[in-house]
Amino acid sequence: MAIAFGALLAFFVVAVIAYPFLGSRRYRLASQRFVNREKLRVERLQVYRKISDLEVDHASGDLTESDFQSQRDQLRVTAAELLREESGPDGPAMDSDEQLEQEISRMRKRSSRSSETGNESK
Amino acid sequence: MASRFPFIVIGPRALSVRPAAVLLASTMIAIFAVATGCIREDDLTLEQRAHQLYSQLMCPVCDAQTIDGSNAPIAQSMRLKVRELLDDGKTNSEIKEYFVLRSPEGEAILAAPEGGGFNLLAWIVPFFITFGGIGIALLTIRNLRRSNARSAEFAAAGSGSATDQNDLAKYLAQVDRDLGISPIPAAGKAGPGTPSPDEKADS
Amino acid sequence: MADLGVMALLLGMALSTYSVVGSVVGVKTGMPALVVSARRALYMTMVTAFVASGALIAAFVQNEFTIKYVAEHSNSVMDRAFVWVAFYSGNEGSLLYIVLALSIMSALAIWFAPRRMERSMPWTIAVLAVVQLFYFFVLIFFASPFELLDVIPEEGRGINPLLTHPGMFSHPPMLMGGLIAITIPFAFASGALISGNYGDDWVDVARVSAILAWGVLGAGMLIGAWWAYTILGWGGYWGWDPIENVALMPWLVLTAFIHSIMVQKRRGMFRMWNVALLNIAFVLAQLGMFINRGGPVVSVHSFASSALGIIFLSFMLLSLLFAFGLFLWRMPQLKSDRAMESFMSREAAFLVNNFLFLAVMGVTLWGVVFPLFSDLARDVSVSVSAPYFDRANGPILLGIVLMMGVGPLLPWRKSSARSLRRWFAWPLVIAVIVVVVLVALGVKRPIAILSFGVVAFVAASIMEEWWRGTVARHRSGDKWARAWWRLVNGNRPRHGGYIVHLSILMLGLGIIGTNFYQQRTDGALALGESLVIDNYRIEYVDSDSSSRPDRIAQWAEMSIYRIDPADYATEISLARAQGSDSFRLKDSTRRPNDRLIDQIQPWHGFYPDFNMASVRSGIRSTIVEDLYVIPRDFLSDGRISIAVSINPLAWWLWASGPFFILGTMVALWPQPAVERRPVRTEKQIRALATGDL
Repeated sequence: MAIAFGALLAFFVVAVIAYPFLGSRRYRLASQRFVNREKLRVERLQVYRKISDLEVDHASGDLTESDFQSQRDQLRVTAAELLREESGPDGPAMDSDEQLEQEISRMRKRSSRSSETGNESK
Repeated sequence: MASRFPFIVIGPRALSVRPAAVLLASTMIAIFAVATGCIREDDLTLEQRAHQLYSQLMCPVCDAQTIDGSNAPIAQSMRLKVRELLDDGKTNSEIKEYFVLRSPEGEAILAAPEGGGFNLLAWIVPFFITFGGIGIALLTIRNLRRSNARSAEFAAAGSGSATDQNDLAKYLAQVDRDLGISPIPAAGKAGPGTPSPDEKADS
Repeated sequence: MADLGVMALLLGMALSTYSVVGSVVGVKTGMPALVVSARRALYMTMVTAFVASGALIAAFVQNEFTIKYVAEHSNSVMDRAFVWVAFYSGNEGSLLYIVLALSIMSALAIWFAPRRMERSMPWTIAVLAVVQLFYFFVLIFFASPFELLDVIPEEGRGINPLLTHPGMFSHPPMLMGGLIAITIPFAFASGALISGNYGDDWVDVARVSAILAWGVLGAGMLIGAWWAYTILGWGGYWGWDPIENVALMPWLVLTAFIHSIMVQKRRGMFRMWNVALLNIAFVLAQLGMFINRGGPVVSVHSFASSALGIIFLSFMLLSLLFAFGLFLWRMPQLKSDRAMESFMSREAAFLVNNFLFLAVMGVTLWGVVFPLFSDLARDVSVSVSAPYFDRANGPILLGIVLMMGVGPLLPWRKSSARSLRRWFAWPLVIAVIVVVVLVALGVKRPIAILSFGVVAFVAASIMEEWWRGTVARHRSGDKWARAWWRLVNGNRPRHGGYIVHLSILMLGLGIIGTNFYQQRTDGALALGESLVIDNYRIEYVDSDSSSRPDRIAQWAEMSIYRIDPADYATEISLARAQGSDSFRLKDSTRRPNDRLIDQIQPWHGFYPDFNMASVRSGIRSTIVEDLYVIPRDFLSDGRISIAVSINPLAWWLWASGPFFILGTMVALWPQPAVERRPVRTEKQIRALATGDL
């Protein structure tokens, strides 16, 4: 009995580790891509979270202006990289619509503190 | 009086390595001095001294235990012996010496190494470790202050390289949009429980 | 079951080997399928570890005494609840437990690792798999829990009586789990270094996994102390035993790490330092395994010793070489982004605190190895035990507590004289008040006064921060409780840290109280006699005994009275004259002011199979002090020999536990990916863009 169970276990284990070499390739890639994109998105949201943490620290005087700026920029770059990876070569492009882009940035300049994006867009 | 502490009055500008180091070192030395200073034997009752001695003598048959905590018969008889010697008016060190000379374990009967020579090393090394450590920390801080550390090339650090800066710009713009430059009100909608809607889901 | 277990172990070893080779070859030759397959192999080691553990547990449940390990660590009359304890009560079982814990933690860590770390993951997996491989290897070739006996015994030997305590359900697994969990952050840091992923990507993962390991290890030690206090029956809770020391040392280094990693997170500094700390912690954890499982030194924990020493020692040395070889190789890439700006900054305070933690670690290590040096150098054995460590480490620990108050009050980068005055004034004033009050009350020992002053300073500094933050939020309209909660919630790592700091202060109170103000006495009482110490009278009222196949148990019924010393003035002065703090009363008639406050039942058991005695002390615990009665022996003439101690503030030692766990959980509790931060939907962005707000 034990032997049979052990053999079953061995078979299962081998099947699992062999699967990446076999299996339906297209299905595998598609689902892999989906899972990856989900993970990337969650990660990007976590980076956003960190930026908001930084803002809290900054507001409470725990972090000096230049540290705050440089760290936030660092995180923004990380988030942008994640976003780029997310959009990927075969992923959906984001707002590729050029017109919308411009409109948005115009909108943004009007409605917000524009200073923080200034050094990045150049 | 409290806020008249020298290091507060001096303020950070005047603060070179010396006041800080002196302050820390003197605090630590004070702590060490007070902590290692012995309690005078004559302040204690015989019973208190007995218990002090119990916790300084190892139980020969137990694993890493003093006779204070051991229920072994030999520990019991050693306790009685300590008490007897104390009643005879022996000092703590005489009693410890008695056990070192009489027991087959020799010096190992003492719970902590004592006396000069090699055993002194046991006590000196901690001083070197502690003050060496603090010294290294302070020197490191001083060096870090002096060194011109790399300027914060954040974008180049990590995985990104400068070449794809332009490529990254449009994603950065998207990030800044996501970050909601105008604050708070939309917060409730993107609550923690519900996964916030993906801005690319529709394409 | 033995066959199944052995098969599972062999499979596990094969899988970890495959995982190492697959990861490295896959990365080097650029075969993604192989890398994925190697990762899956590491998940599968968890399955095999589960099957092997399940097989051993099933063997215990079915009393399969053909298996040596089962026969030696259980019997058929044993309470089934203790199967879990029996599982790891010996060397082989605990190694199996370690493999199980490590494989579960590895699988979780890989599963939850951020995608950003993809580049270094194969290397991380390889490191994890190597460590697993080592333990599978030891399990199969040197310490198999599935070894069979030639002659099948009728009955097993039973479980070690010292382990039949609720604390044993969690203390050993937590300690072993905590020690082995250090592998996880170490693997992430190593993976990042090998792959050349020098950014701070590994920082968050390593921080979270390190805090987990640290919290588990810390809670495990605290539970162990509680176990010692209530069952080992020596009246103490921490003996600076070698095994305790090897668990404490990596914990200290991890404590340093989880502080200095915040500097890297916030300021981009201390990169090298943090990697070095993780390396040291990992090597120390392996040292712990060596001393724990290899048994080169005597200790009260050596019930699980074996001849594995040399193998564990080799693995420890290998990990030392690997960790620091890698470190030296990659050192040039680990520069800081920024310079230190001032001595009066939080990062400077963290660095000093780091070195103090390392100093305690170093002194402890020195104490552990000094006997070996003494043997080598002088051919004279010495013992290095509690009195040494108390004296050598006590002052440094006090220094650490002091830094615990100073560090958080300093801002990052540098502080102005004004902010120093603003933040330090109140805590200093309160500390001075406490010291003055203590001196006025006639407390004599300078070191105790100093310690209480430091504790007061740190407590005041935490309260000050909470007070100011809460007031600020209260002013903006929140109710007090909600304001405080929002303060804590706004920065969980920081305020969780404060809660842990508070628990350390409570622990500190207990340590100061029991170390400096403990009163002890001993004596033998016949039925009806009393022992008087301080203002307690302990009367021996009754005794009873029972005999079971595995043990002979005896217990005493004792009444505790609170007395008025004036009633006993003559006896007290008589005892004083003889140099005693306590005295025995033959006649226990109640005097006018005696007040019955408690009944205790100190218990004493003897286990003939193990030739081992186990005691359960009678403890009356209050927030001020514990009265602690150890039944040393039931004498043949009907008397009971007891050791009594009064342990001031001991209650606080155990009260700190829940706060320690709570604080760790608050610091670790995952913040939702986005909270308060509006992530706009496509629609919202369009609305924003078209001005349709």
